[in-house]
Amino acid sequence: MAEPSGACAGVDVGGTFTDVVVHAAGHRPRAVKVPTTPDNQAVGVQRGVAHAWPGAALRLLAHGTTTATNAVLERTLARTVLVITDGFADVLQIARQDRPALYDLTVTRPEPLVSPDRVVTVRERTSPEGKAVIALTDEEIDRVVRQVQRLEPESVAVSLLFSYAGDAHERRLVDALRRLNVPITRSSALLPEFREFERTSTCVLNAAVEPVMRRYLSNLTARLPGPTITVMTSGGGTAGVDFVAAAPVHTVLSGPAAGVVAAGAVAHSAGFEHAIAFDMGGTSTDVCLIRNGQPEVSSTAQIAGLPFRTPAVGIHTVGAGGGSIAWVDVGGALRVGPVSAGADPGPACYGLGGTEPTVTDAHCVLGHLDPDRELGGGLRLDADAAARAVGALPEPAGGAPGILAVVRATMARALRKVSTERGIDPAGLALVAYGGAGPLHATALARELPCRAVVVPPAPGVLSALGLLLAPARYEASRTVMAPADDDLTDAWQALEAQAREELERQGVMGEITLSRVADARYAGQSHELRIVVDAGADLAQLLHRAHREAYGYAIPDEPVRIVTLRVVAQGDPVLSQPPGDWDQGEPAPERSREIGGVGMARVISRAGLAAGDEVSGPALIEQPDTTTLLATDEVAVVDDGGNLVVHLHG
Amino acid sequence: MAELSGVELEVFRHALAGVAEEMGVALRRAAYSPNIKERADCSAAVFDPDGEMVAQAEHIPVHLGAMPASVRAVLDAYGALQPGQQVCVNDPYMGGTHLPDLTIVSAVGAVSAVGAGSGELLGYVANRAHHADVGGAAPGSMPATATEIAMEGLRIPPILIADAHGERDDVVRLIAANSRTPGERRGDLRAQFAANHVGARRLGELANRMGPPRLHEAMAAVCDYSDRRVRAAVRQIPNGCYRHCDVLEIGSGVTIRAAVTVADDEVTIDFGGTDPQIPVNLNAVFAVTLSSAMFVFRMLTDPDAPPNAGCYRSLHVRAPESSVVNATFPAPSAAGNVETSQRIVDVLLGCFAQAIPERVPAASQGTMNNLLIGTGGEAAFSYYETLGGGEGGTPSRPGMSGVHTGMTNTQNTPAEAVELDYPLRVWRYELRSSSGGAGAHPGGEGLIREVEVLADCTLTVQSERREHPPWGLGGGHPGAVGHNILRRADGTEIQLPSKGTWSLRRGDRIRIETPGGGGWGEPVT
Repeated sequence: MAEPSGACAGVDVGGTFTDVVVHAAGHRPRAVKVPTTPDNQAVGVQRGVAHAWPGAALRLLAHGTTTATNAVLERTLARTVLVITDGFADVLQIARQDRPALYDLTVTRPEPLVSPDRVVTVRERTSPEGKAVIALTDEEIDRVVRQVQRLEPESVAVSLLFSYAGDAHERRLVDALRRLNVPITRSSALLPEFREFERTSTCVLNAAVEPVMRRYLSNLTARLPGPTITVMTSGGGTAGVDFVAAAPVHTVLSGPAAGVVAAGAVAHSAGFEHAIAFDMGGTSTDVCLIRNGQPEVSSTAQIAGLPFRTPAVGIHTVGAGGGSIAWVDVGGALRVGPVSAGADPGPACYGLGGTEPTVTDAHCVLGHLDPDRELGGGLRLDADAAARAVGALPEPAGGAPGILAVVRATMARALRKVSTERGIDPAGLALVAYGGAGPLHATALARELPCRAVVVPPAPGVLSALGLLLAPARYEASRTVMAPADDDLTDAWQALEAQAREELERQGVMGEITLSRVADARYAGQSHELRIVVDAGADLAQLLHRAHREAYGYAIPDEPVRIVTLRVVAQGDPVLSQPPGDWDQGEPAPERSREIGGVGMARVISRAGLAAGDEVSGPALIEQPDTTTLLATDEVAVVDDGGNLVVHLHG
Repeated sequence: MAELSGVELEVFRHALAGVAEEMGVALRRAAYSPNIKERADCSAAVFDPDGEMVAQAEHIPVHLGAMPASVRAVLDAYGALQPGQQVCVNDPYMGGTHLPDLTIVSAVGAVSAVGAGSGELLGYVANRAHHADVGGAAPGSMPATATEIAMEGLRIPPILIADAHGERDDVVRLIAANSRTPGERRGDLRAQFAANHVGARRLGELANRMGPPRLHEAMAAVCDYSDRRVRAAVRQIPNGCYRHCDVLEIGSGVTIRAAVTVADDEVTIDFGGTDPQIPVNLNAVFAVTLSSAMFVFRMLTDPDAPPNAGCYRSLHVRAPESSVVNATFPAPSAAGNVETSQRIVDVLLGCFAQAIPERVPAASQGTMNNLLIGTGGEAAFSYYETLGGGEGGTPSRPGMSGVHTGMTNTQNTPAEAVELDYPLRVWRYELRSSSGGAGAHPGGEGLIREVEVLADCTLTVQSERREHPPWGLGGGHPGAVGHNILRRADGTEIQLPSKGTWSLRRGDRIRIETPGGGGWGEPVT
């Protein structure tokens, strides 16, 4: 096959593997997995791309990286100094004054990213209206710059009180600090929104990660000079390299975002507008609500107990997955997790020395996994080891079916958190299952809730890499205005629209840019905002009443409405408008059958041999290199035109 | 009766906890008051047909023991309820905590051929929410000047608020009419009905799947399970009788005494010797005392055991009638659960510290530092905040600084929000250095919050630990006592007592310095 030019690659770096999907017009997409190179992820990215399609000339590389995430989790961060208004030196330590656990004394708050001796206070004050209450003098600026310099920072965060309302003081300070020649994050530029702790926390997180991210991105662009590189953000959109280098805080939760974007597109292509993304991996499981084909995006999130405010897809994570260990507690209940066998030694059936029973071992014992098939890295399943491990549980624990029942209860509760707890009936939702273990559990879980269908995409093991090609370029400009609903906000909206459009153009986005307006609004007496989508010329108060009714079941038409923050979301076209259906699935194995615990003989079918329109009736196992889909008796999977396995569940 | 297998236990525990949690979420979603919606001053629970609690959504410790007490009071008043009936109660002397906390208990019936919810009694669902105002002598229904409960607002003994025909608007009207903000009350009550509705539906679904007999077996089994787990933890505590006392700063001091007796896998707490109730609002009703005891017990036994009646089967609490920890009519009780509850926690930690010194933290700040600033008339406003302080050092780590401890866990109001909403300027919000007690694991630092008033107004402070510092443990030093300081616009400074109400003029500043936590273990020099 000729090497295509103008190809696009989605490259997602995970903890163990770097996944690559290359798409070129007129060709089937190609997918490979190569080992992740943790010390410098760029090495693995370069290898993966070369391996996927040797000689392909890439036009674009959409990248999902955990560089920022790992830097925060491992605290390999830049030495950062925080400059803040006099009287508020401890804002990072006090946070919101609540404790993380009500009863558990062993749980404490995370250490702030900037220690108290690296906080410099400034004598100045701005009012809520943005006017100076205490003027910032030139002498004070000189003193602050000297004090910051003595602390020898690698990065500086500047966050002054009420800077969202009036940024004059912050700008003057930042201008003076430039002579130190280190990266500076200005809070009113990064996040011009009110609430000093959240703004400062976001600002500091960004400053501490910035030098790490800059190093990584310059390394990556040096290794891959050809293609335009974009990076996945936590909000489910891509951004240009320059933007991410200056605002890396936007990527700290990007890991699962691409997969969720793809799950939304898969659900949409299979004819389901509303769905739950269900990504069950080795140690944890991510679930996310999808409405109208789009993952839910919120304005606030946290990493390792550190809150920040950037757009982030609303993922709920539970600490249970295929590697979770089953045990019997002191009260006699069978528990699964939170301890995981991890990758080393891994489940007992991996034969690497693990002896404790995991969820994967339970599947192995029940015959859900092919004992003869080669696992990645030349491994073969050790069914005897799995049986020994599960058998070592005390007799009344319920064995392998018990382990799966318990893990199902945990998962069902997670799915309810993103559906019924938000007032959404799961009966109208499809479950999009991916991750190594998702499709093994999907139909049983969907019946329990119950959901209307299960969808397993054609290449569930590389869904995140695919999601990078399905994600739009996205930038959100925001500003706190704190205005009554009837204020004329035309100028503010237009300024944000111009800012958002210019930012995407600066990032090199070609083609059409769509702009949409979102307002955070609330009733005057309340203190948490609702995110409402605003059409041009709409009555903001009416929109809030409607949104409030939708979210909480009622509205308060007489109550004054406060418009807190305006947001403009600019989006460009994604590389792919829909997920490709035709994948290279390799050579199909002939149909076999296998005994499944508690069920009897089941058909074992190779996914590679299935084509659009084919039907598979359960009990059956549909195998593919990265996952296995389990169908119970009476369940029927249909392959749709998009190559998805779709199982409709009628009551 | 069949036992539940280990698998069934775990699966059913998740299902029951899901019912309570979904109720809690529904309550917060639909509530109007910021108290409920954002600060989660509310709770939800599921009960079996005998009124035993089988699951609880844990939001706020002070409701731990009060939820079961409310259901007990309802069943005592009405006997078993008919499915569809709902009963409201806030009477602190009948299972309530303080008057703003309204509880609604709903009987849940199996779905039968006759119609939804009319079949046999499956159990009860109940939820409690802190309403922003239920009348009384001051907005917020917690007047610092109350000398008897009649001054604190509307008292509601168990009363039928919904029956087979639906919600009783006459009762809702009565409650709304007694509030300064009747519309809000209707909104919050509607949220409480909605939460019980969600709970009833989910419990009904469970019963449909399992059958009512199996449901009831499973309810009993999860309680037994929690009981087993907690008893296993209690057995780790040496047998013996451990005593401690501490004081509330009222007049020359009001003493709370406790004796904790550990006998194998049972714990008895006796508050005998505690001072009589007082004509000040710091009286704790028995439900508050029980909640405080349960809080300490849960923290020191098995904090992760599924929260249900089984967790407390091995705990027995006795308190002398008409004492400050078991107040009776007409003692005012509004601050019993914000301040006195904290001191009860300290007394009990002091007892357990003698039994298991390696597991008990030093005293935390021991107060919520209630700060109220407001005025009526044209430019009316009302700012209410509770302030964190130092946590006591624990056996495994230093105490946290500037944090809420013990019976509350509500968030602060950002300075940028305070100044937007009120004629106030926050000049300082920092940790109070050197306020934590020295120790191998030092106590956490208190906070300093300094606020200037930009208009004439009234200040109320309700605080504790202004004279008697939070104690250290095992050679750790006490934390610093707190201070309330008023700096008049002309520069004069006045040390205010721990409690009181004062008139402020524009330009005055109030500075609250909250206590530090006690240190744990000998300081390393």
